[in-house]
Amino acid sequence: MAQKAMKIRAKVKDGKTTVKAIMYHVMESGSRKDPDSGELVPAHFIKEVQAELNGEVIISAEWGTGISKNPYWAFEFDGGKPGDTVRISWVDNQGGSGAGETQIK
Amino acid sequence: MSISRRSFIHRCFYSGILILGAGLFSRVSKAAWPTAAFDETEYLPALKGLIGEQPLLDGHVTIQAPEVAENGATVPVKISTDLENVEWISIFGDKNPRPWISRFYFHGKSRPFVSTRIKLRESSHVVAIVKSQGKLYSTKSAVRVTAGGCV
Repeated sequence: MAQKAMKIRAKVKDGKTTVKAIMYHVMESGSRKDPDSGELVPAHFIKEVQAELNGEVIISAEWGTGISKNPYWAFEFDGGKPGDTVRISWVDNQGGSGAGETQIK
Repeated sequence: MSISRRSFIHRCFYSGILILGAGLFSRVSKAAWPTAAFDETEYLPALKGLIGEQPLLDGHVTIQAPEVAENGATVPVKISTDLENVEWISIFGDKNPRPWISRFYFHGKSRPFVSTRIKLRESSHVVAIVKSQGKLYSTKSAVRVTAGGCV
């Protein structure tokens, strides 16, 4: 079974919801050499990410190769309630994709 | 280690250009994604690729980043602003081989705040740019990197 694509948590406090997520991705810049073969490892990185609250996009993002491996992303929004669904999805430069969702606590 | 740090960094850098030259990126280019900014290997042209000639105003933007980062491959940064109606926040590393790092667009009830981890090739500045009501605001924060991330 493939590794879980994402770890995601969402909590609301005093009207502000904080979401924290870790996406499992190599984020290869295309500049790194494989230590065994000496060959360059092809670029493989998340290019586009979006966060939805109950199906409505609240943040969308464009990423380059400067985001660290296994990207961490935290964000905040107003108006979330316990039980609401927060979903993050991504697409990488090789056509791969991943997503994760959680309910606000 | 048989190669010097400088030589290693240069190899990282130039080999990256070769890969791009091979056209690996062409098949995934998308109109919305800021290809012009991404393709630039120098900070000022990359910045221009993203914002054109529009002036940058000071203030209203806060970067939380470490003064010293032990590992340039993963440097935590938080960017916030007191501006309203923020359209986007963009992040650069001014000495990275690809200085443009990311851009986050805010819709609906999201707050103009970003917390993430970035790669910094060497000691340099993290630059945050915020677009609000047609104007651009920026600030930067110096980070000393003691072990560079091959970005």
